[in-house]
Amino acid sequence: MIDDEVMAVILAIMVVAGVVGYASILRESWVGEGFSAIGILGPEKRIGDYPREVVAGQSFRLWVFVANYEGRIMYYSVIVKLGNESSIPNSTAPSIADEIKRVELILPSGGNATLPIDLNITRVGRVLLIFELWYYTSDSLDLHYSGKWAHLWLNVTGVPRG
Amino acid sequence: MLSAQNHEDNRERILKIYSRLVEAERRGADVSNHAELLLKALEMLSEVEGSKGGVSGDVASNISTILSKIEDEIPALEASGEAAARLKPIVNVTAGAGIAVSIAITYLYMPRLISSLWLRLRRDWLVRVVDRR
Repeated sequence: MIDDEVMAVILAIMVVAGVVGYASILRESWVGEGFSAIGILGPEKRIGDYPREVVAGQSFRLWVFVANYEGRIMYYSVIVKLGNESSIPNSTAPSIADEIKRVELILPSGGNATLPIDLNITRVGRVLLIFELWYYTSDSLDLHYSGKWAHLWLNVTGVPRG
Repeated sequence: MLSAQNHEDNRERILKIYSRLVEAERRGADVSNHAELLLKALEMLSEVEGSKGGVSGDVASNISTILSKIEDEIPALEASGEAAARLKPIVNVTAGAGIAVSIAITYLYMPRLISSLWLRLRRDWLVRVVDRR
């Protein structure tokens, strides 16, 4: 017959091992719905310090934040477009506006990145800067719109006269 | 100097490597380090594509070296992923069996253990007879 104290230790170890094992099985089998995220940051890499007005033809920098919670490695493409009120994208259709810049990045599962985007807009007036998140499908390697985008209204003024 | 064709070839190569990494990850491999390497190659490629003054052979060579390194390591990555995938059901069954056994042992021995510890903790107690008449 096993001594009671030995039995108590064995029981404690088994209960702890059982709980840890069960928790790890639950954790591994948990497959939540994956998602990707995109956000625009201002020149100082902060939310909210966005430029309201830029001078046509003058370069300025914004930052774009992309996060991958899809549960697998992802190959993204951030497509920057210049549009207006009638070219706002939605969750199913990308904007019809013209593309002005494209940045590509690969993120591991759970990874994120903040990338600089240098822009130079020549169209004067009130414009809509659209950042769409696209991704390459892993099987056919086609580029697909993720349904995620961020946008920013800007007043583009004419070149100041010296 | 690199031509536009070289850029296109490298981009095509990165896409193919990405596809292989997705497959390796699906088989259970940890591809996070290789994803970072691939991102580095992609950033270098984007940088040289954006540069108007052309690209030195060194940068092109660096991109190619990174991509070759990832390509060379993918078979080992896939093998490790497959090994992990083979081990996974064994680990799951063992953990499940461990849980079942621990529940059975707890059910069988816990009452006895508790009563024995209860008695042991009170072994020095004196019992007083109370007359209830």
